[in-house]
Amino acid sequence: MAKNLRLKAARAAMDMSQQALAERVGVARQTINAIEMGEYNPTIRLCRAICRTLEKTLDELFGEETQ
Amino acid sequence: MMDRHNWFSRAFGKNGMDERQTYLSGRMYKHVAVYLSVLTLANGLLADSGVVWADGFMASLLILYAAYMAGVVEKAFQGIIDYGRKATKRLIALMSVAAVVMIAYSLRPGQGAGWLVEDGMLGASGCLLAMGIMMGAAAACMLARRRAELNRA
Repeated sequence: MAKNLRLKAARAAMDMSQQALAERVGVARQTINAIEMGEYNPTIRLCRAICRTLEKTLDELFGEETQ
Repeated sequence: MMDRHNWFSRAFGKNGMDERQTYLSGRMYKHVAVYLSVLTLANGLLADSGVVWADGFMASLLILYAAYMAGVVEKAFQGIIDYGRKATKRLIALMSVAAVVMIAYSLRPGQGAGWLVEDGMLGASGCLLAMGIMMGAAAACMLARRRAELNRA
């Protein structure tokens, strides 16, 4: 699975650490790290919680990347 | 906020794991079943070829224990802290004390010669020593992982 750099960029744009984002969405920091590193495929529920927190759409953070 | 602490986990005083940790935890138990099967098969093959390394009950206990401890180590290295930071610290301390007591008791003086191996088989003290070492190793892995996490945070 490819790294999710869009999530990392959106988090950095909001000046949020992995820990802060994890606390906001109710998961462990390692889980956010795993999603960013492309090691874990989150459920739609978690994707939506992340999108709400980072004020982005699902497509912007988790949509298919177009070439 | 996601629902990590439902009524069931609150009622039974267990901290909730997130979805990834729940998945990995389930996978850990699946791996424990695989370790258990492999060790039981190996023990059976050894017994079939005439090698009895421990008394039946002790061998079963050690196999079960080894499989579970391997699972605990796997869980620690996957970063699953399902008891919260304080409780994990207490758990590591408890495991360390148990390991020291088991090792110290198995090495106690006055057991005479052959305390480790009796009649070509691992004796009770030898089994206790092995279990103590495994418990200590698991506690050390959990501590190492916890320290790495704290340094990273």
